[in-house]
Amino acid sequence: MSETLRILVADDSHVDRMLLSAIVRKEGYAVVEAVDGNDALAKFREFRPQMVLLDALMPGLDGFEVAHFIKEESGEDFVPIIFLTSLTEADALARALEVGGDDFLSKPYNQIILKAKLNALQRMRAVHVTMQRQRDEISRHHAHLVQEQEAAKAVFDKVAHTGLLDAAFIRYLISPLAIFNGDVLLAARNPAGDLYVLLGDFTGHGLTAAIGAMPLAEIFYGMTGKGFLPGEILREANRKLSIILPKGYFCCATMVALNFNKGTVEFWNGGLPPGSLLQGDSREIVHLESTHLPLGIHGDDRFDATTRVVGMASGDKLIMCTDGIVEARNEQGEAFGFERFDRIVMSSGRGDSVFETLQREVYAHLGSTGGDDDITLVEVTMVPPQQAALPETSQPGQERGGPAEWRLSYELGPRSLRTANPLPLLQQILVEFPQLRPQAGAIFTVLGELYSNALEHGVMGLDSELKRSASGFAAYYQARERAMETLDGFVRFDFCCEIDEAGGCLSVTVTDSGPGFDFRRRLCDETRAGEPAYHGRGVRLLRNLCQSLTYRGRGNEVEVTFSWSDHHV
Amino acid sequence: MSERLDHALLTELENLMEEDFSGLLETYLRDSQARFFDVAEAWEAGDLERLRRSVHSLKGASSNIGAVALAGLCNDLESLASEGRSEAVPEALARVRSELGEVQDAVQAIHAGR
Repeated sequence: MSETLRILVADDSHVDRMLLSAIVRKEGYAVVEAVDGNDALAKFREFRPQMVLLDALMPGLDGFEVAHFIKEESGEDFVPIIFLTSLTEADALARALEVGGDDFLSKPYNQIILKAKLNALQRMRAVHVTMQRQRDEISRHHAHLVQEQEAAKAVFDKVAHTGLLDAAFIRYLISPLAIFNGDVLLAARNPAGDLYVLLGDFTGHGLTAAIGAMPLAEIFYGMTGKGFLPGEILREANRKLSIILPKGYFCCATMVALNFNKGTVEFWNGGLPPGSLLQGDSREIVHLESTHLPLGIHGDDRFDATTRVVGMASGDKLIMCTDGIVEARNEQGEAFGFERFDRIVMSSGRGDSVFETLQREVYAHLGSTGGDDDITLVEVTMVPPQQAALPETSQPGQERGGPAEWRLSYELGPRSLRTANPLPLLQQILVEFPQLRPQAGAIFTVLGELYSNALEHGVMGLDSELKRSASGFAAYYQARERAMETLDGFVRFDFCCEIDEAGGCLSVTVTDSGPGFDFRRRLCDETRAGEPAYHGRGVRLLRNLCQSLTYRGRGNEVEVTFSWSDHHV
Repeated sequence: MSERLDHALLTELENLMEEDFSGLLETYLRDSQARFFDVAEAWEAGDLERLRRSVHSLKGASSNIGAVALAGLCNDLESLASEGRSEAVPEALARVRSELGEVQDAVQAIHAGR
């Protein structure tokens, strides 16, 4: 034995004490002797023996009282106590064990028996010590894990539910423990002022969610800010996540893009419960079903970035949630369920807050189960364009520098038209010019509008009249998909910019290879009917954003201009 | 040889204590004497509780030394004292005194023989 165990022998009889000490020493233990109860306690405190042999009946403090103090003062340590007794009555012996004695030894002392008892108790002590050590180790590991989780949570919080979630037209509920359920909510506006929202639900929760959330947020904010389309952003996110996430981990997600100017919402849902688009007047619900696999499953070659576009009038609301709400269980174990969710959304009256009603009902359902750590709910409301204007980024006229006069021509042939989106690149080039930055939003919106007209109505020959009705919308986008595969032609951008001390002017001409349209007649019709620029070629929108708008040729060429002057306000 | 001492036990004790065996015997002789005086004084004073504790202690040491009969008589006296049967005490006390004397002689003999 490397460690010499100490045993306390407390007996007021000198003879008995001598005997016991001899037996105990023979077994290889070191002995500490005590002559009565008080002495026993004093010697225990001084020498902290590993085991104690204690006479039950001693003058002063008797054995039972000493045992009580020893057990108390040992704290977590296990100090076995053997009572020495010639008490033959059963209940006296039982009392010995009740007060904390671990065994008893009768007189006359039998060496063999005492030796066996000491060994048995020593084995128990050893097990106890091992358990304490293991418990301490587990405790340390746990503290370490908690620390790591807190660090992950801090990172996650900065990344995973951020952006424009404070905008007036967004309301949301996300658990402060979102890291543990893997839910992510991101919102940003693109240069044209469109609102992009991404709701995600990572499998695996905890650290996996934190690890996945970071690149997802970076891609979302970076690409949205540069003007990429939702499909392009989703493709890139899928690519990144399928590389980073371990096998079997993925991210269910819904992405929506609200266009305030056109009153439309473009969406993509991979694996989340259906979004609910509540239409203000008719109180009808359009379910935005999941038609794709979650992000991170397919490789790039098989990923489907197809989005759907649906009309969304001012006042319409879009509600999205992760499956935490659907599966929230009450005390009886019943799930909240999607039917109940749907019913609440449908039966909410005009002017009621669906969001508040849902929130109230979910918490009522949960009752006192306290299980609100998996509730993520977001509501986005369509507002008129004036309410959704982007804040001005800087005062016009204070930007200086950059080339004074320049031209740029950029033409896309059929293969580029099918696969590439030129807008982010062109936008990047234009915002390099400080004088153009204050109007970056308007420019981006206009470029987007002109390009989509040139591509869809010009090159692909789709009829813009189709977009007038809700069912026409679906037909229009189906036709667009088919036409994409067989298109032939080109779209060209010609930029011309002139700047002098007084100010400057940017002109953009977009030409397509299509047949054009009778623009003279159309412009008259639109102005007369007084219709909002909801569909068609969005001419009214363009007029609001640019200095001038001129169609040329057979209607396949259009020039817009932006100008500014340098007087200080 | 007396039967009042368990010789097998004493042999074991001798093996256990080795050169301390004499010391053990001496300690018993001193202790048992002192303990019996305690018992007698307690009886004089009419303190049954003190009598009981002292004879209990004598009982323990005696059984450890192998004086089985003496331990039994001590047990009887202890029971009487704890039951408060004072009238039976004097006789039990006398028996203990007598047996103790014999045991001490036997122990003394063993001690001298070493």
